[in-house]
Amino acid sequence: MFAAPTLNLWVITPLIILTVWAIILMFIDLFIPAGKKQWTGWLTLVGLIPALALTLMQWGQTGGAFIAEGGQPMVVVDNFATFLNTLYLLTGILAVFISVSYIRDAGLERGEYYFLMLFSIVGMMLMGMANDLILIFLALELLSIPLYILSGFDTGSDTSEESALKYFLLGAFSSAFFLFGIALTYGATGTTSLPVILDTISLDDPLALAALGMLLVGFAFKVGAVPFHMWTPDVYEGAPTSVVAFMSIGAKVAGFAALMRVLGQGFPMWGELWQPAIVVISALTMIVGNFAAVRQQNIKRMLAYSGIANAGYILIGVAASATDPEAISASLYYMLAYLFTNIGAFAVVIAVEKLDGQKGLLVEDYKGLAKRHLLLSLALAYFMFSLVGIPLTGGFTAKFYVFGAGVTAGLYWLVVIGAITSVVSAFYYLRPVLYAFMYEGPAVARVSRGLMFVLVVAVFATLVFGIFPGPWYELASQATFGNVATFVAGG
Amino acid sequence: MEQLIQLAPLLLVFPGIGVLFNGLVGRKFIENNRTTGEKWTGWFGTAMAVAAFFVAVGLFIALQAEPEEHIVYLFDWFDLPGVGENGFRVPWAMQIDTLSVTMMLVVTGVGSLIHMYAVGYMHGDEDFSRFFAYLNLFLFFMLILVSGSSYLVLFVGWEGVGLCSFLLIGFWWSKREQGAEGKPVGVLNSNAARKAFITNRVGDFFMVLAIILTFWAFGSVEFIPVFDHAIEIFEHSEEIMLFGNTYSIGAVLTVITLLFLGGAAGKSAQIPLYIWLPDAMAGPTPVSALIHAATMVTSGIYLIVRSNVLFEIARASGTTVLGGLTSNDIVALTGTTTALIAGLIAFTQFDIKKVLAYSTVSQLGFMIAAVGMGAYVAAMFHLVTHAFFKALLFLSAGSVIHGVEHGHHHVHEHGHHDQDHVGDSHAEFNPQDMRNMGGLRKMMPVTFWVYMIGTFALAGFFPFAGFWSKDEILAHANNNPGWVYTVVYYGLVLAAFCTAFYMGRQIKMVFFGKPRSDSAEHAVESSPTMTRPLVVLAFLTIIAGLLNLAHFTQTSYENAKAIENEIQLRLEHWLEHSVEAYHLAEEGIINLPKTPTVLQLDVALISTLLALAAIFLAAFVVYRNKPEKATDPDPLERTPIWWMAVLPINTIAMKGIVPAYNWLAYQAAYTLDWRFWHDWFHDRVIRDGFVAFANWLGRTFDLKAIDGGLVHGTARLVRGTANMFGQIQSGYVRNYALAVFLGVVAILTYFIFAYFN
Amino acid sequence: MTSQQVIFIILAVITLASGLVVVTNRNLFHAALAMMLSFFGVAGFYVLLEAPFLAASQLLVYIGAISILIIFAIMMTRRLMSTDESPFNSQWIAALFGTLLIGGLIIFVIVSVFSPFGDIIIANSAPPSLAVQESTVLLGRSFVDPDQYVIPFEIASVLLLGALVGSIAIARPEKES
Repeated sequence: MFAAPTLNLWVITPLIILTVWAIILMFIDLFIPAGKKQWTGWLTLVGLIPALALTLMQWGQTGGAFIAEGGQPMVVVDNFATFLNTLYLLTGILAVFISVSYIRDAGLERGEYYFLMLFSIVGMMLMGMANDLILIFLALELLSIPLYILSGFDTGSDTSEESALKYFLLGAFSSAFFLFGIALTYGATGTTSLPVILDTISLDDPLALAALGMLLVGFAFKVGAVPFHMWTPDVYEGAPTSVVAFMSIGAKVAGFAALMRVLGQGFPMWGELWQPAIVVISALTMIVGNFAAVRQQNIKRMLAYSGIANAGYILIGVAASATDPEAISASLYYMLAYLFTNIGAFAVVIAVEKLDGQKGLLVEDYKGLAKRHLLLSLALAYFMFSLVGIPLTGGFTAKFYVFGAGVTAGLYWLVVIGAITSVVSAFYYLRPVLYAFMYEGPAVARVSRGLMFVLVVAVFATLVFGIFPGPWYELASQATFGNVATFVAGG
Repeated sequence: MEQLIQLAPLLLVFPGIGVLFNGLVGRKFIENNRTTGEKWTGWFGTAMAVAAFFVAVGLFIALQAEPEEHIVYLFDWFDLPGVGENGFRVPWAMQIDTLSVTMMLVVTGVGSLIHMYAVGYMHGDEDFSRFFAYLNLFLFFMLILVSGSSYLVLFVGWEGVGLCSFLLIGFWWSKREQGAEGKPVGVLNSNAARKAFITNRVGDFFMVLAIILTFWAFGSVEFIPVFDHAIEIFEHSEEIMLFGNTYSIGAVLTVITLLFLGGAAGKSAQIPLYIWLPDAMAGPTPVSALIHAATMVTSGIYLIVRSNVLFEIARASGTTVLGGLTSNDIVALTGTTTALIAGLIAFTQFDIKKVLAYSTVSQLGFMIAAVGMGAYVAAMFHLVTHAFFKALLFLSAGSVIHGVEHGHHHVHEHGHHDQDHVGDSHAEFNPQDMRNMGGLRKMMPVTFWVYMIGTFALAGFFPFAGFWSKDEILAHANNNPGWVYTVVYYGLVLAAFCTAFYMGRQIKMVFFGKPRSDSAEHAVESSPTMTRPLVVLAFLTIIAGLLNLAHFTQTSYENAKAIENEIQLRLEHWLEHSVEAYHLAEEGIINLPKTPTVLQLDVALISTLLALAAIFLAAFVVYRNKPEKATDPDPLERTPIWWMAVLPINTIAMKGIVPAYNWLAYQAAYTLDWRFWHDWFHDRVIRDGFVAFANWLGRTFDLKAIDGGLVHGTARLVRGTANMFGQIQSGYVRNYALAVFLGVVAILTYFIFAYFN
Repeated sequence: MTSQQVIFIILAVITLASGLVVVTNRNLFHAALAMMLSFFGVAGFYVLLEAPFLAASQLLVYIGAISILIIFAIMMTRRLMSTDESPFNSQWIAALFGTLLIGGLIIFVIVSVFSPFGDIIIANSAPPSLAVQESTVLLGRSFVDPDQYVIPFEIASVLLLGALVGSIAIARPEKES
């Protein structure tokens, strides 16, 4: 017979809210006439905001649910997960504000856009909360499949469909490796639960090491680390810009979440072994991302490479965490700051983009923007400064903490590469700014109310992170993995 | 670290693979698809050179920890128990010590750069893959030469590099175009190759005698037993039994060392055997740079430095010949004479590469003079810096020739661009003749600047590499008593003056003034494949002085040694582990002339001022506004210096040595005459065999797969690497998937290897 | 060799060989058929591993549904059935090297963990502890047991829902434009 179920649904309440609301919204959407679909968009917030509120309430709490074999929970909530969940939900909310006018103007206005986004957010949140490799895999797929579809949402555009297909094929390819890694882990330890892996793994088991290598591939693909980055520019270029804004943060942060949890909770004892691998990937990612970005003329491709480069910076913190588990807080802070800066940058791109075809996406199309839209241009400049890492921006403090973590861990040359490549990054980040302010040109922009909201929030947040980073970093440094034992007690 | 040393055989394996690959299937690739085939074969050869370089670096790192010599035993080579006292037993082993590793680093490092350059330079040549096969073969033998632990293994390398030199000088032996003296260029090229081969045989003859004598005297041909035995005999003042008589060790060693000098004179182009080197410039320019400037020609110096114990004991024994000269003095004087005479002959040359060739002879004279004076570290120092700047100068000269030829094609509107270099394509126009150049600095800025850097280094200007190394030799000569040192000092100072003068003349004629031909006017800068290695070499040329920076202030030697991480005199501390003579001198067994460790201001000032004066004299006085037209005579033509051009020594050598050798060879084996060697052997054995084998391979294996897949895929890979990240981003999912997959392979490989280590 | 080992080897050969045909055959239709055979071999493995439910679902879902769908798709686009294009592109050598390397590594690791070699195959597998029927029941229960796999099960269902919505969104005809 069944044992008494130990359900601790509190842990997954935000997930339940989002999922149920997505399903309800599907029905509501049936009754919203075409042309009024922005209502579906706004209604999405009805699910997202309570979920955010509940998530914030979970801060400081540790608990687990669904105790599986081995006595360990399959889903956990700890400050690490809560911190990241907040990031996804914020991204989701801002993305809705960006999307409503964009998809209407682009002629893509369909309700599915929003449900898919909600499903994807559920997957992202689960990535950070999952305590079991099977669940991580399912979460990975749950976050990816809606994104594949969203990338190809512009069914009338060949580039959009091409990008979806590329993303899907390569994503499936890397998932296969990830799955193979899970299988090998199971072969080595007889379990897929991270804490149990930690307990049972024998330090001299090469099988588990091969497994770890395979698992890394899955995450490295999601975060766009070199050499698993190549899909990024093509997908970003082809996919609808609002989708890119959403996934460039959400998918990346989720990939990092699972990467950190797997490395930090499943395989911390092999820090010495995986650190060099992460260090090399990080260095390559920074170098390739930044140098390749210099050549780009299309601003979405440029931001894609910028995203790759930023993944490299975040990886510095991950690499440092091999010797000092506290170091991931630097990476967490980086992602928080990057969220606002990046979504702000994409908001500007959307404002300038002309929706009849792929116009307004070249860096040259920013010529003369400041003449007509001074505030927008100033916002653009501010986001670009932040991405370069100039002081008084969130990007600066983020780089500061990450480099600090690297130095503390003794990864000097990695930090040197980081510093050099961020100098390189100034070349391409400042180009649109230069065009906007220094050249004559016909650039025009349309800033809808939703975009305005996002821009204001993003500028404000970037400024706050730039000037008062302390409290936020404090939060990030509390966002560490919960103690395994308390999960069971809490459940 | 010991494991790292055990990797030494890889040093030979990589170039070996390169030879096999380029020799066996390279041609097939190129026949199939010119462009991708060239990339594949060229870059594969380069990759093998680079791989060997990394092995050398690994050995270098290993030696940092344990700087004493290591013997890596490979297999027993000869084991004849009945021969000699204890039997003739020679293992094939590699001696890894600071000296051999220094040579390896130079050979593979400069070699890699020159391979890279050659990919651009040889582009379009019909025998592209053969060239790279030879080049890799050369590396293979050169590494045998420097890594062998016995004179016999060294001799194998010695002969091998000679063969490669022969093959590469005559590389364009089939050219039908009209050349000088009304003969086809190909004939001239093979004549040059022949001359080199013969002259080297003379040197080799002495080498063989020296090795045999060494074995009979010391019962071994391996370096360490020979040296130990020699020291032991010397310390106990024993006699040596040889052919039933007893001789003093001094006498025996004087003979042996003089024979070694003969060998070194052949390979390192010393008087009177230097005659082959200027003609060797008939080979492709990368060959001139690699073999005939940077590496092979320095093996004579390596031989003497390697045998330093024998030379120093010969000196310490006090045995003299020719009225009071020790064999070391003879070495030093030979070097000095060569340095001076070759420097003077260089004045009279119009061919851009021949000037550099005579300059090489002259600089080799500096090194030989240095080893003769016991300044082993100074000689090695000059060897290393010279390898950098002379390779730089040759390659830049190649770039100049390339540019002028390009201009020539442009002017004459030859629709086709047949990639014939080195003055053999158009008899009426010689792109190597400096009289046809002028004003090139505007057309070829990169080449110009690197050429200037090379010139400054060669002329010995502060702070370029040549200043430090040349100065160390001069200071050593100035610092030791005895008339020989005085003669050497003044001879070398004069030679240094000559160096600066002919280089001043050269840069003036090539880069300054007005273009003296249409071709020069339309010259264009060479491709980045060619200029990039130049820039690297230029950088090395600038900084190589740091290798063995002298002290600026008076510090006691012991004091300097005590300071760890001392940037000064690094090479000296490094080489001390291999140059046994230093230990002997410390123990008081012999008396070694000392090299001053402090910069000698007066010496440095005098040589610098002279060099400045010479360049000034050349560029602003003698060659000021001259020559204006290509047909103008050289302003020096009426001065006695011009006589050097017809110096009888060259004639004597050509009329004396070559016929004598030919006669001997003819008598020894009259069927093996040069007709046989050249026509039969080259045509039938090498060429036909090569073609037949390639055809056989083509028939036997369906190379379609390799051509289509390997060549294509790899070419794409190479192009991608060259263009870094841009080209890889091709837009094809399959490329991305491959990248992902290779990433997986890399990560997994790393984890598994990290685990098992 | 036990009979299990013999069967294993036969199945492995079938699976791998037909997998190879899938990627090398020019004719798409033949490739699809070979893929079915490969799936069939995998189903055989499940039987060998005493997972009859998985074997049945493999047959039903992969062979019964997916492969048939693929064949339908191929038949509807006749042009694609056979192409002159080689299934090899310029990268196959690099891919082959990578595959060999990775395969070699994995074999190396496995051998180093479970030596001697012969024991890798299921020769040592313990006798089935549960009756076949019981294992299916257990599987079913564990999918809905909160203390086992209910959460992955539910997430998988959400995933399928998302995929369903997505496929509709993509497949729906373009708007009248």
